[in-house]
Amino acid sequence: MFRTDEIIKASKLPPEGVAMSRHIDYIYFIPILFVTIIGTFHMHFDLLAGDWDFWIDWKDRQWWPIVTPITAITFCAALQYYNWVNYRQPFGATICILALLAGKWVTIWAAWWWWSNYPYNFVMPSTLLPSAIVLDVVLLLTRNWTITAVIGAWLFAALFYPTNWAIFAYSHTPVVIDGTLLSWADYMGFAYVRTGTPEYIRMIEVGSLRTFGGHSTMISSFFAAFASSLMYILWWQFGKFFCTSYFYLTDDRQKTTKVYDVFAYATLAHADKTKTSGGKA
Amino acid sequence: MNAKKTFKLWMLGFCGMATLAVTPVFESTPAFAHGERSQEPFLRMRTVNWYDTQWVGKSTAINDVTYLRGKFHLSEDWPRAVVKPNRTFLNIGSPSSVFLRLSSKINGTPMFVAGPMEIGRDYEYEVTLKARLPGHHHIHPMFAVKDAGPIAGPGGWMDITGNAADFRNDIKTLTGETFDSETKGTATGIMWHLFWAAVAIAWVGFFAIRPMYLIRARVLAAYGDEILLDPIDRKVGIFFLVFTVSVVTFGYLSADAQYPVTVPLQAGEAKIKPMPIKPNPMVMEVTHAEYDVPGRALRMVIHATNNGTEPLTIGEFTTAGIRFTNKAGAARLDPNYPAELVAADGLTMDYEGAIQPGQTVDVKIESKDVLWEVQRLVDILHDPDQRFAGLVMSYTNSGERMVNPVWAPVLPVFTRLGS
Amino acid sequence: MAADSSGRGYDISQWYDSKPVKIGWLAMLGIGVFWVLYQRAFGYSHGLDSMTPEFESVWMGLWRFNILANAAFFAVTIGWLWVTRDRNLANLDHKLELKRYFYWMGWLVCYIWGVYYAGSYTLEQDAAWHQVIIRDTSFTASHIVAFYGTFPLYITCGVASYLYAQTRLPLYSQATSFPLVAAVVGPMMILPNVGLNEWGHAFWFVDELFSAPLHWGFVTLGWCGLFGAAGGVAAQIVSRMSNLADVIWNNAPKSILDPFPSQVATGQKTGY
Repeated sequence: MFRTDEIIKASKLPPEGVAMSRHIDYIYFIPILFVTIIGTFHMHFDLLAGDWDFWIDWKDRQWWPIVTPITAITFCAALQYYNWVNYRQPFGATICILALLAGKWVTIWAAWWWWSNYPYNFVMPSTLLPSAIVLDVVLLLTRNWTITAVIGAWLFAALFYPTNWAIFAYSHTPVVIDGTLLSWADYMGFAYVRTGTPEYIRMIEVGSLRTFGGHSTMISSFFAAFASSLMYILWWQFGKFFCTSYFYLTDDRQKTTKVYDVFAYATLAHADKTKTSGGKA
Repeated sequence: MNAKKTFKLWMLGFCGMATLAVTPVFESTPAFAHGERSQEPFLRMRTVNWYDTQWVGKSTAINDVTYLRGKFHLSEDWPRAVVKPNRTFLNIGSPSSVFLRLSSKINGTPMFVAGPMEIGRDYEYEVTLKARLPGHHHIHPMFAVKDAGPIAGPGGWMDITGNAADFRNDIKTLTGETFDSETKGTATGIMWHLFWAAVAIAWVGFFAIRPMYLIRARVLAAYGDEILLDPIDRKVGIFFLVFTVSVVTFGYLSADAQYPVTVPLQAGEAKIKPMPIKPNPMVMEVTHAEYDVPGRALRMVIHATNNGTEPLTIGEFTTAGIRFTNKAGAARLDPNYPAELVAADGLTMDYEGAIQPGQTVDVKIESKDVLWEVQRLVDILHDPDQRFAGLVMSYTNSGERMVNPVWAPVLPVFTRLGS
Repeated sequence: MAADSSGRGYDISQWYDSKPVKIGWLAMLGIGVFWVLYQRAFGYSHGLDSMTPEFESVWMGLWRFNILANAAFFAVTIGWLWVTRDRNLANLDHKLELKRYFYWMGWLVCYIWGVYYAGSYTLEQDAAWHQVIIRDTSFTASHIVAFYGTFPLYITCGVASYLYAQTRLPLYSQATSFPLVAAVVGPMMILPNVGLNEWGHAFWFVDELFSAPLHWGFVTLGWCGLFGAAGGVAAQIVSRMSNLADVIWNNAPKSILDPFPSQVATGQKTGY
């Protein structure tokens, strides 16, 4: 089914070398790469968009669909760069969001629910997994990060609201409490006491709200899509900066030179090719 | 094996230190207060002056309803360091949501969202609470001011009995359905999260079952990506794309069909009128105030005039939720008010009698108790603006109460000789 | 293990040993579980009012334990790594170097697991716990574990990872890896950044707004994680192990293992 044998053959590694490479996969992929993303991306996400994700009464039409995709596409783009450019692996975005949600759900269970006694529905996170899968597939199919920045990143943000409407639509059902109309989400935010989160902290529905026909969500998503495209381009470049491997050599005069380590196989394989084709490369 | 030995050493060390550190745990008794005492004196004395706070029902069964009531006066001496109360929210300080807040009314107006309040005016609140988590809980009214943060009021104890698992909170929506706030939406949310996680793991797993890193890096570096881009990946990619977009569309449309009537989050502003100003024949002004550090006493000289028709007797000075009373005030104390916040004979005056109609007197009032220390109001000495504020209560013979806000700069006195 | 005991025709133990990483990770997991259970046991009973003597003994007791245990862990680990350093790196066997890369990845696993505690679990737990208490001290039941427990723990593991590479892996003993420095120092700076956090909460943002700008220092330092395990360092590991594989199994010239030719004649003065 797969081309694995052909790829292994081209890598010119004996079975022992293949086994060694698989052991790198085992120890690197989940325990190192995945957990790194949880630790760093979860922090990044919480401290830039966390409040909208923590609380059901922050998930508004105006800021939630903008802040969340823009904050999340960052690491997705950087990790896509690393996995695609070095290995042609098209799952950078999906593992990012999987890692984020893994980190989130552990905390939701152990901290929000077990320690602080808030019900799951009150602190239900949103999901960007469909967005991430689509972003990855677009990169795989187009093999071009610029097109991915335009089409993929755009879809990434545009899919966010419909994906999450399936989870949160109910929370916008109207209720009347003390003669006041509230959405169910507002009621939840009022009913469950939070000592550190008075109502005025909410950054929701605060713009001029002149949406010419009430299409607030559409306008927000449209803007989020545009901003996500820009963010994708920026963070693809960040990926290049963060994930490039180089060293500094210091000589006896303490003069420092930047050097790149050598990936020898490319040269070796070309030398082999030259040899087998009778010296003509 | 080096690593193993080292590991054993660490574990021994850890256990030793854990024993040392944890030993005091078993000597101490639990206490459940809330950390209001750390708030600076200027925050607690000169912003919100709480009075008549009532923790209704000392013990409530799960699912039963009780109340937190009271009044507050927003001090005229509002500190410069605290943002003015232009957006405020009456909150509850409780160890987690032990009660569900069913309703919160200020001067009869519901306060679901924040709103402005006026300095120098009085407000009366009532919060309806539904018991959710059993235990012995310390509950405070809290006044949160945007950009200034929460200001905790006095804390009282409220017990909840029963079994947490029995808690339910069914609310009928405007569309006729009944939602339980504890569970509504949880199953659907978790289902969607699990579903998308499964799809995502399938996507990543499809690549993870094959050699992932070193081998591909070698091939890519040497031969480019022709071999690496397996045709089956493209086919599977197209499938995932179509599948994902279809399920998102389906999920969106079916949620929309299930909940056709929705409203946006309500982000308005509570418009709350202050209580009408009650005619008060008593006029008071502090002409001098000092804090006796070793004596733990606040002394003030009040220039008071009774412009009314009935004699008035001073009975109480209250600040930061702490009440200092003399005999006249103690007789009117709510017996349910937390005893740890009351200095029942902490108020002494050089003029104990009633102030007669038309009379003007200068009264030296001393509020003295170890509470100044325990409640950390002594820290007034460390404030950048050494002032105090509070309420002085006086009573007519028929029991009518006059409330006079007072405020003034405070001078510290470090030795008894000085006084 | 005999060369052929598994029927594979080669002896994996020549270049792979996962026992230390398993022990290390389980120890990390153990201390994490201890912290979480401690918080559950004493959070509500002793952790709501920092002005009480109970808080002083139970919670500041845990704080003292965290500080002492972390100091001891740092001293023992760093001391052991330094004392047992390889003084003959020039003649390192290639398969042993491969094995050391796996050991080193084991260190990175422990480091990253500590970063996970700090950046993910205890960070968001902070948001949850600070809805329960009235924040009355910098040493809340949540901070004592996050800032004074997990932060020093991963910093030690990070420094240890760095030192392991510097003392046992030829590449890192010869030159300074920019991504590795960033990956260790970036998250390390998160601890001093707590200063900004506490200052900010005291004088600037007094409510629990998570996305407040006073928290953004943490964010940028968190990005440094991308330098390391997620990117630059991993790329270095892959390329070095690939080169080693070529030398071991494909008879490639040993010269490919010296990527810094200017260092060949070490000790020789460059001309002035």
